[in-house]
Amino acid sequence: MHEVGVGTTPGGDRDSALSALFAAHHRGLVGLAYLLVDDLPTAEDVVQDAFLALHRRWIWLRDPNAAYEYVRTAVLNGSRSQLRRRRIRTERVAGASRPVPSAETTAVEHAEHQELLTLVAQLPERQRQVLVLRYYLEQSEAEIARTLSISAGSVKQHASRGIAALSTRLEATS
Amino acid sequence: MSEELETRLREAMASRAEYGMTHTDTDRELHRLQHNLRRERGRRRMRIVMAAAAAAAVVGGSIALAVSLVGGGHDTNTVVVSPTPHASASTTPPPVTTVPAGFPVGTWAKIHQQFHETLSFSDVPAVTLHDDRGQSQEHLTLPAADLMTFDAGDKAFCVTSGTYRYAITKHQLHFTLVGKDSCQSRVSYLTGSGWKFTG
Repeated sequence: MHEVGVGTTPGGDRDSALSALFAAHHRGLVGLAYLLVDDLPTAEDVVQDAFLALHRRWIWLRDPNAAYEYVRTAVLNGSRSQLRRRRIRTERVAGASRPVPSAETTAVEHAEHQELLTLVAQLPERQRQVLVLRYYLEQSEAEIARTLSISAGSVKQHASRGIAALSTRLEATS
Repeated sequence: MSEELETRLREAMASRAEYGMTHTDTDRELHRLQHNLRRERGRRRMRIVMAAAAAAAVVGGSIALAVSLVGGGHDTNTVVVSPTPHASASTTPPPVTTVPAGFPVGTWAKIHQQFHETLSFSDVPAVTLHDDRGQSQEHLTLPAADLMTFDAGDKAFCVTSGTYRYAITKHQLHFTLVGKDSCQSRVSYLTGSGWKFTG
């Protein structure tokens, strides 16, 4: 999933390389963004923006294997920006609430998954990102540190705080 | 508890992501991406046309000035067109600009380069990089008169920004890295050989 060459050669067709990368990774990236932003249209927009950014910055891309890593980082950053914008909107508009997964989603989701993911969504952004990278993408601490441009120590701290917060909240609700 | 929680987290996240993956339509989204790319290219073309129109106006102004000098009975030998990019700036009214004197506004091509690579600096300040694969516009900040910092913007291949000292010697633009730049692509792109002014 992680290493798709984009076939970039000097004079190569940037658009077709981008389309091939999109076809190979679109679904996986939407799944990742959906975990972070909780609604599908926003997740799709985040992935669109990430590919547009990749297109604009194509010229810096000397290592074709860096393309997927770039676009995944752009999805993580884009999701984080969406959450921030949403938080500001929620603070400004009294009574506005954060999006929740559709009724269809909740219907097919196991009740205890739903409860757990609701608690994950209430964590601070960084803790949530670290947990998604750790438990969904199965990244190591070192990989998460590189992806998020933070230290391995910070990754460990965010992960342990996130897990501790989830445990406490789960105990409180049971 | 922690191990059980971790297992539940994995299952819950996989289940939620699976929903997103099965309910998105890759073909529709690819079509949307291609539409957005076409729109972006259209905007870029418009910017190029406007920049060309502005350049034509500057050249027109220079010619008018030269004609008025010649027509005024002055010695024609005193009207000299220098090949350096600063010459045109000195014969036209100073633009409203935030860049320092000596900033290499104009287009520069890489010397001794197998592929065609150019840098076009504007007085925004910004630079457009262009090679056989396409082009990219980057924002610049100018921490000192002879320094420019390439801003990576969002966290990209160039996770950090990179600062370079620039100098024009013998009509060639040279970059020297100041401090460190973790983006090796940018280092190799800018440094190594000089850039020749092309217009």
